Amino acid sequence: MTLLVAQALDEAAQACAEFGFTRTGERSWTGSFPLGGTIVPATLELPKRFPAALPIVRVTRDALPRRVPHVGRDGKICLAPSGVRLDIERPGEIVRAAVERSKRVLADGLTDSADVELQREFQAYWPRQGGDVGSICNAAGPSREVIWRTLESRARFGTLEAVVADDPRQFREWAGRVGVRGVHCERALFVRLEQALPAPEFDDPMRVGEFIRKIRCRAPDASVFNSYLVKAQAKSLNVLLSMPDTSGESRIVVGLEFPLRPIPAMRRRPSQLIARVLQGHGPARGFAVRRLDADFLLARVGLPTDLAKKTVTLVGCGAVGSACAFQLLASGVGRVRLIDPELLEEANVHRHAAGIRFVGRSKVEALQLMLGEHFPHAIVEPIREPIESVLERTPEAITGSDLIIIAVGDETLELDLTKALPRDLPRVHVWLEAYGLGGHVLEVPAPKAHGCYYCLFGRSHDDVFTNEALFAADRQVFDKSLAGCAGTFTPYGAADATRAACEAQRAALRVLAGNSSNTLTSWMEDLEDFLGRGFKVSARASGFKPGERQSTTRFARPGCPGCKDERA
Amino acid sequence: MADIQRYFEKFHADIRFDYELEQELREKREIILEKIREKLKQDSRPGFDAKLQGSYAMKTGVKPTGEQVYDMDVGLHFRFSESEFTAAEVRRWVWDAIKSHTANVVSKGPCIRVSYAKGYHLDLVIYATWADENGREHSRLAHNEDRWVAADVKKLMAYVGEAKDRFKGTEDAIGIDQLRRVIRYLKRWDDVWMPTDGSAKPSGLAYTLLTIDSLTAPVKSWHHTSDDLEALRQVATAAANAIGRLVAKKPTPEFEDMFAKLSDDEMNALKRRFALLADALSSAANEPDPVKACSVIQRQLGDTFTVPDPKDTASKTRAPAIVTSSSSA
Repeated sequence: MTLLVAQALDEAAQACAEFGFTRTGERSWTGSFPLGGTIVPATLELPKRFPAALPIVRVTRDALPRRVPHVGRDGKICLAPSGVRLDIERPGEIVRAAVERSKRVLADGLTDSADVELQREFQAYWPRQGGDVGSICNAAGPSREVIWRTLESRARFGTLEAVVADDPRQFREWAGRVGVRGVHCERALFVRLEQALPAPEFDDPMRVGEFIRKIRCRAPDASVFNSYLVKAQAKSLNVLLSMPDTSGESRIVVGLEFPLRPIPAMRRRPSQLIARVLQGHGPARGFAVRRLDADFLLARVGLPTDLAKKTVTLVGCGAVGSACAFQLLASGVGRVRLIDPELLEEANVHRHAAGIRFVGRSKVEALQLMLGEHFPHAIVEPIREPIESVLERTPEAITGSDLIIIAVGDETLELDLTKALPRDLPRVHVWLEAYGLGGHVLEVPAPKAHGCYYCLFGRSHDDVFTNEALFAADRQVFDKSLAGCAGTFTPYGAADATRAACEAQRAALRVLAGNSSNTLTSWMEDLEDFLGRGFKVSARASGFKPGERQSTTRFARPGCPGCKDERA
Repeated sequence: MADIQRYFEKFHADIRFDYELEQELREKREIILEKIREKLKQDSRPGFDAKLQGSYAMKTGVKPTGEQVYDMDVGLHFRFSESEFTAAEVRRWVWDAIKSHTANVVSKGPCIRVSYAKGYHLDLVIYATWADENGREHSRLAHNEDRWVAADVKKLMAYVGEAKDRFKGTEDAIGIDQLRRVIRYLKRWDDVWMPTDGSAKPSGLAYTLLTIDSLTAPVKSWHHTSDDLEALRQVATAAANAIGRLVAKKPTPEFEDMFAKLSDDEMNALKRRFALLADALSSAANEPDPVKACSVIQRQLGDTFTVPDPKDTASKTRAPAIVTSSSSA
């Protein structure tokens, strides 16, 4: 035992003694907490990582005067949520704080707020037997029949044994994207409760009849329940219960399996069928339901869920474009169209969002597969064509979008697109500069204001057509080649592409939310490396410090051929 | 806005007048200073240090137009206190040395003016400078009304120098910063609209102080190149919208207002001119065609401001049409 550990244990022992706890082992103590006139036996144990981990305090649950929230099945008291910082230099104080917190949890458990807390922790008390079941059903929808697909055991999705979907098509699309197969299909019932069920006690056997009565009085559209009970022919009945959480903002989904009493076929009259469920055949089996539906998954994004109804077209699926596609879907955008004619090559892999297993496929298809696995609810449409031909042959692929993101890094093409794209189509341009010098995002929520990609271009003193947003001075050669003209590339790192994608993502969300004006955002990264390679910077670069990010709306140019600013 | 910064910078290069550029004037200056030194020596008078002052020292000089002539201000700094000699006495030493140097030498308020047949003149300004028992420097100007007037050329130069320092990074191809360019634009604008000297014409120092006061920081385009049009527009707008009279007080004793000599009517006329200048510059700023924009500016700043030939504008340029760029994705 190191001196430090010994010292920590000594300090912990001293703290435990102050609370009247008796040492029972090197790292364990026993004692009690007085609570509402009763004495609750308790133990305190120091985990191996102590003082870098919290002490474990347990109480004898049977000795508690009532159900107390934050006390686990084994009597363990939940002392703190995750993410606390421990003062590892004062182990004795950690023990003292742990004991005090335990006392507070128990005392709070006797107050009126305890019931609310129990309800908040509903899922922790829900019995879990067998494997997990996933749900991609609309959790806010009405009571209805749904389908229950058991998953092929060798291609399971995590620990999921089955997935419940609204209909077979929904399951097929989802399974195709995440790469699983369903082997067996049954019907199940999805019941929407308007009021939450009381949180059950640990291991409390759920009697079928009693439980169904509870459900019926909380489900206004319980008629579906009856009709389903009549139709159910299986040995068991699987029900998903959707109920509001304590905040009222989201819904909890839990599962129940009712074993059914076998009835001879000739006696299957409706009333008897219902009765056989109500009489039950042993206690109902509860199971955990992992919500995989879009509403639940996107709630963590913290953004308006109507993004799911938006369509974004992304032109250019290189390093920046592929990272943009990922970020868009991560934000909750529902549909992304990818336009790029190129194939993914080995040399692309380290900067591209799709990995080496997609080499040889088109970039758009590679992204479709990769993104489908990651965001099964989103729709990714690959268009393996140059944007010019899409505009010519299937312009509706673009005009039907809420936003177009242009991540091609090709000034001439982008200038051309500025004029060719419909004027009422909002757009975001994103591009990087060589050797990690910096990057730029131009958001243009046309047609509300003037200022477009073309506005960034002016004439230098010697009349050269120049992108005035760039940090690098014009007319320098940055391209490197590993395989002649066909293999040229502009050197920058994957981090630069990710940063650009994140900036583009924020711009896109602003545009989609309608909180945007025509704005150029630029950021400068490493100047020293760039200058060290003998390159020169532009006048604009002199207005930036390395690490600085600036936004401007001043770049609109009267008479610009791109936005035809009519103020002139 | 059309790309017209280059036309402003060309205009500046065309109107600027720098001491270093005028060899002949420099030679005249050396001749006359030598003459004064010899005479003082001969009469056993104290010597002096000669220092350029005014627009030459500040590098804000503009070439004269119409009937105006080149001029140069030279300070003669004698090292004695005001109590040792009277102002009239010292002015007489200098006067005696140069009174017949040219056919036209006159004693004006703060200076002695030596005019040359070729149409330029030198203004000689006489100072007494000394340090008191605490080491504090003092400076007085010898006025022709036989009095020593408080003056501190060194401090005035330092004031302008500090203002200029704020404009580092705005230098044009010939190394002149935006502040001095704008001062020159205003001085030329004034010469165009007020070609003859008189009470209604503010001095060059008045425009210098006004510009320093109005233009506190460099004015740049969104891509960080100098935007002289906008800088000039800001000064003109501030002057046009000023409440009451324009005031430009010297930052040194006697802290006089350099616009004080203008009557109220003259002041109002000046402010109206500023308003016209501001309007013209706003209109040029919104004009996409450089030819039209420059024409609007030319009407204010005079014919020296170049209006590009439509044949020479962007689409006809011989600049390279295929260039490399750092843009990538």
